[in-house]
Amino acid sequence: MRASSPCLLLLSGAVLALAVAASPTRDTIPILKAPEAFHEELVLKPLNDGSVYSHFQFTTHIGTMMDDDHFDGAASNLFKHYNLFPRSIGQILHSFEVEELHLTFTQGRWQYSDWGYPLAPSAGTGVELWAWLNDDRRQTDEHWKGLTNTLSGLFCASLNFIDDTITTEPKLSFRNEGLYNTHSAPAADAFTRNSINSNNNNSSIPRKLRYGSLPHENVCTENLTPWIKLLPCKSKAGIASLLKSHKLFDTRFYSMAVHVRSVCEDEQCRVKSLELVQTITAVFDVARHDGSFDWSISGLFEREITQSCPLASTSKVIVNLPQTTQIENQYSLVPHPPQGIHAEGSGDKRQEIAVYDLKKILANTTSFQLSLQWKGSRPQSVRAISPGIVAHRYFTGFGQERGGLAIEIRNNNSQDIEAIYLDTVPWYLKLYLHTFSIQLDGKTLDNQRELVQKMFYQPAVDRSRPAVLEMALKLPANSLVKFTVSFDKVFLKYTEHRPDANRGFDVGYAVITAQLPREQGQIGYGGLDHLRLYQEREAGLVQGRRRIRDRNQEEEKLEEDKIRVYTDTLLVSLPTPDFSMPYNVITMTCTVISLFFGSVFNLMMRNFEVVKKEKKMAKKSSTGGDDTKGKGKDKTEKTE
Amino acid sequence: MGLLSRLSKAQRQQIFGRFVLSWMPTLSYIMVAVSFFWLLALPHQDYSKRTYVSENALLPGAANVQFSWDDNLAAEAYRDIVQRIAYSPSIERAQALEREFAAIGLKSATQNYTLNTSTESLHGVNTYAVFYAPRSDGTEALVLSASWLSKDKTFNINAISMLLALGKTFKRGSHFSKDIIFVVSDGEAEGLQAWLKAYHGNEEHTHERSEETLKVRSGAIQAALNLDFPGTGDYNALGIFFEGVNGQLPNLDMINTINQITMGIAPVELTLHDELVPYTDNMTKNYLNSLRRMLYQMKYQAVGTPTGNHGLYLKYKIDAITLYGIDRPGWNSHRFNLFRVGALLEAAVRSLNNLLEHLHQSFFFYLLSDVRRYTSIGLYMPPVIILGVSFIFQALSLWGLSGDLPIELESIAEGRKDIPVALPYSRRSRNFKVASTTMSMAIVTGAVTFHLLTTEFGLMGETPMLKLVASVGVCSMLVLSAVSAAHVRNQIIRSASTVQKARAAAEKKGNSSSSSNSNSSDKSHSVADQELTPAADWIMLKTLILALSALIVTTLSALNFSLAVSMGILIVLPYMAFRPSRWTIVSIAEALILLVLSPPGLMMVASWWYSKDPSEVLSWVLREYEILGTWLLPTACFIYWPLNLAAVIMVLLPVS
Repeated sequence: MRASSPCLLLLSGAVLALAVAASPTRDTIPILKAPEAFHEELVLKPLNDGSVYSHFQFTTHIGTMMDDDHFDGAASNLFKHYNLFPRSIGQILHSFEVEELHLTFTQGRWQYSDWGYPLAPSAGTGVELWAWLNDDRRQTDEHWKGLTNTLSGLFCASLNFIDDTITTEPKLSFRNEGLYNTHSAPAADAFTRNSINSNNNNSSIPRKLRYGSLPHENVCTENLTPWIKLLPCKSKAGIASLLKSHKLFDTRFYSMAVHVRSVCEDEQCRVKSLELVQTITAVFDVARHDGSFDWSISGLFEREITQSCPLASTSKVIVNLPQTTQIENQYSLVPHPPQGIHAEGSGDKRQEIAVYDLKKILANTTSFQLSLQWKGSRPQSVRAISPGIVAHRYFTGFGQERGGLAIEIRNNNSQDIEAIYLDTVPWYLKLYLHTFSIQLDGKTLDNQRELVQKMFYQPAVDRSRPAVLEMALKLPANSLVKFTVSFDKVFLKYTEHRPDANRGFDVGYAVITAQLPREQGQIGYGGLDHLRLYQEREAGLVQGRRRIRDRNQEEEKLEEDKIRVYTDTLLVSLPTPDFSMPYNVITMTCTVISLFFGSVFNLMMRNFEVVKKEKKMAKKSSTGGDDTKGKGKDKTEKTE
Repeated sequence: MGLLSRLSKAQRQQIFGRFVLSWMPTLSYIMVAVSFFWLLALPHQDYSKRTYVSENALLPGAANVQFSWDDNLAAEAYRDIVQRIAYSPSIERAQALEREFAAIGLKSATQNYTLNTSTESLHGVNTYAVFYAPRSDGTEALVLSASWLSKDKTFNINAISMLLALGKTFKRGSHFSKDIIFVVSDGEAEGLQAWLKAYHGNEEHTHERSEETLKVRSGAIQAALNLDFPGTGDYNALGIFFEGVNGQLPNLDMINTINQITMGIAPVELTLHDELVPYTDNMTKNYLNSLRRMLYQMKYQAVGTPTGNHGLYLKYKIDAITLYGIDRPGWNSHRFNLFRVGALLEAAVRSLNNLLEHLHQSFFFYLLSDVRRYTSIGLYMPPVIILGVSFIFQALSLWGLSGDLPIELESIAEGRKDIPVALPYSRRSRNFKVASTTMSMAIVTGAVTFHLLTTEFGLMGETPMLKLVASVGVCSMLVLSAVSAAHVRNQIIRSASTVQKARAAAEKKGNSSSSSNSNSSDKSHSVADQELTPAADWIMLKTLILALSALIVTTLSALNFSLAVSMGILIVLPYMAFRPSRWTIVSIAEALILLVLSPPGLMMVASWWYSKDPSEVLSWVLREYEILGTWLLPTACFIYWPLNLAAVIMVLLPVS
């Protein structure tokens, strides 16, 4: 634990941090534009099936720190003062010593085979939370518990249900993304070579990963409102003014995320800053009503942008144009981007991007409108999407006693792909690892070493932790790999069933993390960092840095992108007792007991005597106490 | 009382026990009568209740229906397409449908399957498409299915075009919480079965059965509606078919939901199966109609054949019913077209979509006397249990009496005091060897016939009828050998016992002078004699048959009530009443009746009743077993036939 640095008379803690951090090597550190900066982007992309993919990204940077700084305390003075960075997040990071935080709320399913990969890295239905926590003082578990409970309160979600029975610590997946960005070496190195101990910077700080997901958590307005509150301009100005919950939640896919990580500000990664990325991803089905593929911003969101967020350094709308084959000029984009259309790649890999700088556009006009119209309202021929890796996981068998899990992973690439498979199975499904079998293109594989290079299995413990199966795979080119494993379903205690017992239990998704060559040229590739490329290209910074990076990677030839593929969540029905039966039993038992007990108690406790009337009179006159009075009452009852 | 008071306690107990035993047969006949009357009373109005929607989440007919005239036009356009491709080869029409579903915007695919039964080779291609409900997590799904061949062997054109039109309608909505899977299965039942197997990851790739793995999938199927709307015209009424494989039934709420919708949002005439009965006030006619409907249900359940493709879902714990469009020209009711059907189906799907949990509220065991009246398990279970108990009573009384020494009964009746009190161990020994051997031989024979019928056991390529003849031959060989062996054995024993008796008589003569109480010693001698000669083999065999029948009827009643009842009714009287007679002609008549009740006999009766060739009936049974896995053939071969064989042997055994 560091000592608190002396309080200096500086306006912002962040500036102080910059000053302290910068002092020893002042000459080599690039000068930052501002200690805090906010960028907002909206990416729109028409998808092949008539849907429109929209991705809002709000990035807030705060302060800088040196190599061995981390967010454990006041040393960096990072969280002493807040301008743009939301205080609620800052305090959470500070008090639970969170190095990196990723929280995603998702509704609906991402259709990989139709839509390619999303720009936001997480797309599993429900809520996903993972964080790298500082383990200096071995308080990770308390901190994790505190973190889930606090976030639960902040986002009005049931995150507090991420308890020990759900939390896992993946060994290969979910490496820290911080310090992996366009500047530093790609995480591919860490990913393949030192995957277990892959704190891919030279820091010696002990960190621990905690991962948890709630597959059945519904996402709605009450989660969106606190999310919007984290933005500097809220939803009053800028692209965030498009966020209307009525439209957003009537989409085929909706995802909302908060990512916090540290990023490098220079090539050697001596200066770092903390980055908060908030994203909203929504896929609008524009062809739902009339079959027309035309769309406009006001049609999608029922709102329009009238001013850019004054606090934002950049405010852009980026349109990833559809790639049609054969026929030119099939569609018209109104208005035409003032800076023209950027093109990248050629032939099948050609990508065209139109960029609108709202700061400039809204300086002249009152509102920003954008629409895309197809000739004949439907595209004639759009380049088909063939995502590099598609996964499908499903239950086999029927009945409530046993079942099986089957996972199909298809590699559509023309080269071998390294991937990591992570599956968390709740403890009430008893996996039998000896039944684990692998099929490659329909044939059972004997030599599994070739395919499964590493395998971690954490057996479940009843009522305390889930089973975790994690594998480092080498997927052969153009292949279909299928895993199957059998399990028994546990007979739960009756109190462990949910109120909707007959619905069954949700089993969360499996996650496949893969390094894909950037040949498909999808916008989704590279996740958040790819968008950063656009941003930096605009800033004129990217050229030089890219060149340096390319030189570093000469031997690697192909640029690679790390993507995560999420499978659908599953529903498993466990043996369910007839819950009306206990009710019947309780009712009947109570009735019998009340009838029986009452009369028997009465019979046993009462004292029946036959007495003569005169005697009674005499007795009453002679003694006359409370005792006899009670008795007398009984007697009269009896005689009557 | 006078007689009883003079006897010791042990004697009194014995007499009481014997009294009960001797009354048991009568009691069991009374119970059979009670059971029969109870069963006949079930269709009566007073024994059934009105159905009601038990699962509150269903809210049938509460949602606004969006199926419009435009959708109706779309359905009619699809009808033309389906009609055009109906006569193309399987693969072509499947691919055409796949394209149509894809054009709507659904993920669609096809599935090949091959099924080689002992008599035929079936190959087909299924088409299926998944509507991914927007905003849902895809853990749950509903299925709408239609097979290319309708129940009446014509093309199911309206149903398939309805699936396409509904796909288009559903695509517009964002209010679905469950994915909807559209399945157009090839053939009749085999296509859907192949699809269901593959959906649950149980696909096989053997020579007999091969199912292609599914490419598109969704979550756990919660409920399914199977559509059967043959032809291209309008319909008079809507029929509900609900009996599944081996008498399994869907949750009654499935039927209640449709019922509720046809009374409100989509008014059509609704009936059970395809029975159209005019409304009547007449009590007797009403009763007879109810009885007939109930008998229909029990027939389907007992035979175990599903009345539609919905029956295949039930095995996977998916509640499903078939909706059948009844086209009966001349029937006096408002005819309805695809528009009405579309509204009905959309309302039904919206209602099922409301489900929060798997259907579990309403009844899974019921008899329907009308589409709006049901009889619950509490009312219909007692008669079959009573039948089972009557079997047990008969068996117990036979068992008890078989151990008695008949002479005691006589002496008690004479009121003699000096009779030797029968001690618990002074019983007639029961020789169980013959009975148990016969029974186990019968069961083995049953197993052999089953294998003769199902596998190509040295009868490759032969017709099923030849196999049946072979198995009947095996059975008759068993009967002949068992009966003749028993008779021969009886002869030997009899001759041996006459020798013994002669010897005993000679001994008695020698001892008579020294004996003081000749009479009592005579009695005690005869007691000893009786102890030596065990009860007749037929008694033991009959006891065994009756006990086994009780076991089987009561066990089956929990699995398939109708099968248990029909089996019980068939066998209860013959098995209880028949016994070998001193007159051979009576025994032979009994044996003949039992032969009529044997599986081949019943098959003949059925073929006569439906005026079909017996070989057709047999190949139908075989086909049902091989394709759908119904229990009819195994039950007949492993349970019913062995009992029947044993009974035939029993009546032909020697009396003594």
